[in-house]
Amino acid sequence: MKAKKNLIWAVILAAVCLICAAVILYGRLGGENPKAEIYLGNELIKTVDNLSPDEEYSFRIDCKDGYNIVTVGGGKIWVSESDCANRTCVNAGKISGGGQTIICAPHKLVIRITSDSQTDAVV
Amino acid sequence: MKISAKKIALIGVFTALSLIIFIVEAQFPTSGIGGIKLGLANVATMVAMLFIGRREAGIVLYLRIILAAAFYGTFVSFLFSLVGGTFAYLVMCLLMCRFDKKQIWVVSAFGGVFHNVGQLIAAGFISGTSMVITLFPYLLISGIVTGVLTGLITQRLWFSSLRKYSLRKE
Ligand SMILES: [Zn+2]
Repeated sequence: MKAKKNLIWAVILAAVCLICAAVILYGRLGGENPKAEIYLGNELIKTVDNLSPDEEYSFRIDCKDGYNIVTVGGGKIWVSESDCANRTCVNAGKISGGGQTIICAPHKLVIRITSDSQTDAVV
Repeated sequence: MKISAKKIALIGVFTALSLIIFIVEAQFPTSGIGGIKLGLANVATMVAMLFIGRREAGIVLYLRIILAAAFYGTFVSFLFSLVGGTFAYLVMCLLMCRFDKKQIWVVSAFGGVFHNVGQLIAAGFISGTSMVITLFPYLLISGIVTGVLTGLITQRLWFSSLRKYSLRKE
């Protein structure tokens, strides 16, 4: 009976993980020409159309609480440097696929990848 | 509430252990989405809950959060730990006595998920954007995986010879 309980819970938790993985993968599928949208406090301040420039480059985003250095290259975009309080944005690593997001909560900065097939589908 | 000397000593030991684990873990650069951590310090909270009691586990948790913030934390990281820790603590208080000791790993998985939900709410509150919701599927998976792992460690400790130090007769 107890072994059965373990099994039931294992199945439930694995199912939740699988559903989440499916949601994540679905967001990444079928996207052409991924673009990065950068928001500061819910306002779209910049769109990076080409994530694969000939040469990697960085730009700086200043907000009232500090700055973030964003780097683009090799089909990816990431926060390479920040003076924010918890560095979650830097630790988040590089993103490249549709639906992926980097959030710097203290600076109210959001970097989001969208692609052609999704721009009108996703709110 | 009368607290025995033995209880106070155990609370001190668990708080010290959890602070050490927390600081060591913080030294490793976290990788992946959203800087996911294993949350090993939570093992100390859970063991305290099993060995001493729910209230005492709360003392261990909040002492660790306050001390960690005092050592090198920032206000934002303190807020994240506080909200995440409280969510996890409350759900584990609710579930721990309702589940068999062989299912500590399930209780811990719920704790991990609620910890992340709490952090997501904190992130939404701090950043003032609802776009944090896009991190939800990642955080659900990481909460389950890290919760199950820390839960299995806790379960292992409960079913070990260490149990003779437990103040609870169960
Ligand atoms: Zn940041």
